[in-house]
Amino acid sequence: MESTLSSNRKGSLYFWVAVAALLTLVSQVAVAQQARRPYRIGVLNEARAANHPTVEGLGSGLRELGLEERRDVTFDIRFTQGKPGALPVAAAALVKASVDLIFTTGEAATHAAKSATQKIPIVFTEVGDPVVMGIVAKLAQPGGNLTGISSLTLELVPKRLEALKKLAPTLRRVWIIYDLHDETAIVAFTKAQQAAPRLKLELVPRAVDSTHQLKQTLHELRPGDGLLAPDIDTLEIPAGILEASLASRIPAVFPADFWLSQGGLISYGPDYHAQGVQSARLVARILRGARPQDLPVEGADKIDLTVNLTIAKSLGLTVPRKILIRADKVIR
Amino acid sequence: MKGQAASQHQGRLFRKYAVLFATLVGGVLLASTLIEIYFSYQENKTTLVRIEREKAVAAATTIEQFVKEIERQLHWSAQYIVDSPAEALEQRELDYLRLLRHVPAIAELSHMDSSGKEELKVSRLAMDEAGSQTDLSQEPKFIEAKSGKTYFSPVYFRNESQPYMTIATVGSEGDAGVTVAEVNLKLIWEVISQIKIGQAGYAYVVDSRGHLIAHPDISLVLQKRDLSSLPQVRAARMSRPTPSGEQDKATIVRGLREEQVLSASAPIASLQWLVFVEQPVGEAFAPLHSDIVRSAVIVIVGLGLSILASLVLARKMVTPIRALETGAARIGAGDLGHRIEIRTGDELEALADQFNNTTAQLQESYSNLEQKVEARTRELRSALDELRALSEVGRAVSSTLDLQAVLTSIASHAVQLSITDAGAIYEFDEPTEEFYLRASHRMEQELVEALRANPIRLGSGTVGRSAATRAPVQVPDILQEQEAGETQGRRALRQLGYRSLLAIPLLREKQIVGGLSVYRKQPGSFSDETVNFLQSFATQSVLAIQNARLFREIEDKGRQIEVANLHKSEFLANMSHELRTPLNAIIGYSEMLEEEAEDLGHNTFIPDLQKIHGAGKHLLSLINNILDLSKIEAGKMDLYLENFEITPMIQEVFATVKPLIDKNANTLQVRCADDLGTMRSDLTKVRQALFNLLSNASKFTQRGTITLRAGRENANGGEWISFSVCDTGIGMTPEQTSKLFQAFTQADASTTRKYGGTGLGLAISRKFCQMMGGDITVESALGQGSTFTVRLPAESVEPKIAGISLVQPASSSQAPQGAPIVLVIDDDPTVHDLMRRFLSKEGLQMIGARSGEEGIRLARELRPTVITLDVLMPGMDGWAILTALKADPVSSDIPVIMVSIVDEKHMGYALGAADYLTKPIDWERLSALLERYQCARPPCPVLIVEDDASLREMLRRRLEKEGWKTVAAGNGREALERMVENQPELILLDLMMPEMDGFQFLEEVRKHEAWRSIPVIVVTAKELSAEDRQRLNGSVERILQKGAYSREELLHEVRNLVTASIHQKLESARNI
Repeated sequence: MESTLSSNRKGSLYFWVAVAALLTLVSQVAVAQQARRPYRIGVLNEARAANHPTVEGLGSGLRELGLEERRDVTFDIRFTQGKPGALPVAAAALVKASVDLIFTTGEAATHAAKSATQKIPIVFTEVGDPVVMGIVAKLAQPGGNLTGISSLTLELVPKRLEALKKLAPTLRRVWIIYDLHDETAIVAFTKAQQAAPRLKLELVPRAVDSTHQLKQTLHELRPGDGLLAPDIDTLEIPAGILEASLASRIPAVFPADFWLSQGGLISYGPDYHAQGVQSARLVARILRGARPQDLPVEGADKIDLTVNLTIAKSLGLTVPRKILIRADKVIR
Repeated sequence: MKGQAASQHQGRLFRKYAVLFATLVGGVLLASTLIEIYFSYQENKTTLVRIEREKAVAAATTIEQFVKEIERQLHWSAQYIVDSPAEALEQRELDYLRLLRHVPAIAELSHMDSSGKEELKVSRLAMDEAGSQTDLSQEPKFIEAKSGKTYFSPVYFRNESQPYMTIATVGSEGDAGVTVAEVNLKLIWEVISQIKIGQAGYAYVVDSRGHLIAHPDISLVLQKRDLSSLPQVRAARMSRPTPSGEQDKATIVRGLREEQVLSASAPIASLQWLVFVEQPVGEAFAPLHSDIVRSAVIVIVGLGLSILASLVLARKMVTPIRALETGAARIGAGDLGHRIEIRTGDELEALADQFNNTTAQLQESYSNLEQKVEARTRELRSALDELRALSEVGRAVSSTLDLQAVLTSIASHAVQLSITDAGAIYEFDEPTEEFYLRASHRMEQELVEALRANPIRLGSGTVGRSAATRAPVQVPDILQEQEAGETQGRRALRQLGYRSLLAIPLLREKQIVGGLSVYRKQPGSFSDETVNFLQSFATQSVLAIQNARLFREIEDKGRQIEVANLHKSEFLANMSHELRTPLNAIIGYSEMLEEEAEDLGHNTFIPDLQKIHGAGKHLLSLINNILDLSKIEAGKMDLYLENFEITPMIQEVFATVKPLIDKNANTLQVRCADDLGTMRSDLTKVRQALFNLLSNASKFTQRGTITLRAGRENANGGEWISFSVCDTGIGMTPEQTSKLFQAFTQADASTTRKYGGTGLGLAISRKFCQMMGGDITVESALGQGSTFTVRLPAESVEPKIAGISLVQPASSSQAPQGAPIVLVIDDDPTVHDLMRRFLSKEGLQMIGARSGEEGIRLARELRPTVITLDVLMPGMDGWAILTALKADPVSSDIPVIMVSIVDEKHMGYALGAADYLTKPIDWERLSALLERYQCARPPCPVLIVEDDASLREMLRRRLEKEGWKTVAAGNGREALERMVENQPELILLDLMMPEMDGFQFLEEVRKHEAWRSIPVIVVTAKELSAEDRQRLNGSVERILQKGAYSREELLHEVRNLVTASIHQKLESARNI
């Protein structure tokens, strides 16, 4: 009888051991399948609204990469609407909120974000020359916690002038109006100066530091002049230029096709949305563990030549064939 | 043992099965899993490798297509059929602009003329140029393109982070120039990045030089890594020839990030690029590993389950078997009520049922058997009881000749075993033809008296009828059987409540001897068994009665014989006394007269007186011999065995016979051996025989020499003493020799007359010797003398006593319990020790007492067979002890051996007689004795106690002549008075006296301490029997003088005495 009992116990023992083993295995598998909380991306820009094209581009880009909004990523968007001094505050807020990544558009926002944190990775877009702007050390190896998409806008200044000249061959003088505090403007002007002789253009640089000054400057425009809008949106210079151009029937070239829907004539520059999509790759990589310092700054892939035929017509300009062929986008 | 083995086997079956099953299932599972794993591993590996390769190929294809597309675009753009070069240029520009728009990858397009000068440049980023005429003829892109191949430049970087490649291709007919495109390779990046190989797998592209062109990790590309050293790169570059890439097996190599990867490659032949697809080995083989893990888990689970299942199965299998085993064990142990419960519905159940059936049958047969055995046992027991009863009765019958006791025993047994209430045995008296009640059992007094008073007549009553019919008769109920003329006995029975009776006749050869009847107070007939049984009792009873009768007859006859014998002995004793007394007078007075005559000088009277003396002597010896012979014939001659020293005896004989020797002028020479020592024999008879021989020798020799030789020899397994008497006399013829020992013959009829003698001497001597176990032999030759040799055993033992061997050469010094006890009273412990040793060798138990008081106490308690007593002891001295012992009836008849160190002879004498003399007194002997007992300062007073006046006178005169002072008394009482007046040194005592005989006198003397040491010589006509002697001795065996012997000799002597005493005691006990 004793041995029956002991074998009974043995049998039970085995049984429970097996069950335990099974349970352990199952639990391990379950653990592996743990659902992760969504990434939080803090968006910082001076846009007028939350739906800046870059942000939209970022969203769709992330979606393509398998990171769905709300499930995998959530956006905390701080748009400052161009208010001076609002950016640092917003940046600080984002840092406090412990977002996983800060997504910026434009040099100002990027600077603000950079000042706010050295730890939280920052992906910038619409930065013309990150190195010159002091955002990154080297394009190939950014270092620090920033990387992003360089919009190449400064490099494209000659091409903008070329496009303007092609569109309005009679153009003699191009006014370059920029913010006094805009450091990139100097670079832009230098580049423009290199191209000017070839294009037989005279350049008139004007630095303004207030809207009043802008208005005054714009008053000085004469027919037969052209305008080169700066990249940066401060003081609403591009908006002013746009108005002036429409009002004075002066051709102006913009850095992005954003303005053309408002009445801009021609633009040559990177597509905001495309930049967002392009930046999504970087964002995704960083969210999944890559370090910003290892990811080189990319140049914007998509650079569009956009022409507004209606405005051209209203300005009495004939769009040459080469422009039409070349134009990536045409607004009628 | 069996239990141990059983428990050892316990659980083995279960374990066996469990292990077997588990092993089987587990083994199979394991084996199959392992095989499966092995094969699936191989398969998976192959598959994975194949997949990798395919992925690589796919990647390669994609990239190739991408580039090829651009190339095609370029190629297409290079064809113009136009009129003028300017137009061509215009056209070209437009085409280029279109291309820029269509192909985002192209960053710049330029055209070189056939001489290598740049004609046109359209750029996306830089300013367009036309007709720059930059000389690029030396550029490889121009040279290579010009040669007809499409030129793919190595990858270079713009803005540090932008990879570009130059593609140059020559135009087709009509275009001798070269179109060059700067292609942004970022899109290849994208393609490469998009290529997903599992989770951690990736693809990368390496150009013809082994430099990294595209990699998901852009930084690596930017680092401008040279991967030509990587083994997979090397291998791939070397194994170019077959573009289909069958030879490209996936290999496991170290990846770019130093991890083990599974690497496959596919070439882009046109670009001379290599696309590598790599996946970390862990991930690549993950499915494999997970497969293995899965299999392992399955195996483990499977094993677990199989173990479980096997345990359960084994248990299921074993339980019924175990039930069988325990059940069988229990049944085997004796529990036949146990039934094995198995409900498995299979052969095991059938087996269990069989077991149960068998067990039930066994049980039944056991109980049957038990019943049978019980019945049989009962039968046997009753039979045994009967047998026992019979044997007891038989024993009773044979053990006692007391008829009454036997019959009572038979009656009681009969009643007990027949389970009746009473029984009786009747003896038939033939003359009166009546049955007399002889014995009864549990019969009421009235009934016994009634039956005794009214004997049953033959033919009437149950007993009478049974005897008449010679068959048992029973009356089941006396109330029902009303006999006419009811006997008294019957009436008594009825009155006392008896209802049934059974009578068995006691028959012997059809003769009626008596009857046995049993009575019961319950009515009913007696079973055949009882009747048969009682019949056998009846037979026993007959035998008993028979025996008793015979015995009675024998007893009567025996008594008659005894009486006759007694008369005869008395007659003889009286005769001897009557005959001897006058003879004493004749001999004594004649001697005295002779002496007086001598003294007075009346010599003439002397010869006549001598003649009278001689005649008287002759007559005396004749009477003695006749009496002796008749005693011997009647078998009444006793042997009185004692230990005595041979040499003193010889000296005595010598002294006694000397006068006879001298008479015939012979000389007697005594030649004795030194080691004669002692012998155990009848001293008187030995003396008589020797005396007889010597006197014969002297008689038949004149002026010769008679030699007496004595020696000890070992022969026939024993020690013998031989005495030889050799004379130089007349000798004998053989014819004479043969007639020698016949009574009443001398060798010749004439010799009697010449030589005298009665002719009885030799016959008696020979008889004596034969009685003692020896013999007398003779050697003689006529005229040359004769030699008579007496050979006696040193230890005479009568055949009767031979059975008793007290001489046990026991190996152990321990005497057996129950051996005769010797009580040694001695204050010397050494004596105790030595005695113990000696005595235990004889098979005797020795108890020692160190003081007289202790000795008396022990004598009373232990009742030893013999006591040795040291005379001189501190405290109570030997005499006092002896008195006390004799005074106590418990110890009075225990023989006592006195042991004394006393020097003075006569002080060592016991209370009893020192010696004996028989009447008629041998005066020579008396003289010799007297000399022995001389006191220190003569004249010594001697008390003569003799009732015969004449003898008394004679003795007085004799003794006074010897120098003793005599006092005489006629009887014991007078003697005592005399003793009080004047204590003598010696007492001569006649035993047969009126008023207080010698024995009584002696006892009186012993009572007085002062008189104890006076030696007493007993003079008696009576032949002293052994008992007489004992009485005389006061049961004092012997007096030993310690000083005369060494201690060992002394103790040896004691031992002999003790043994002799015990012998005697036993002998006398047997003779009762």
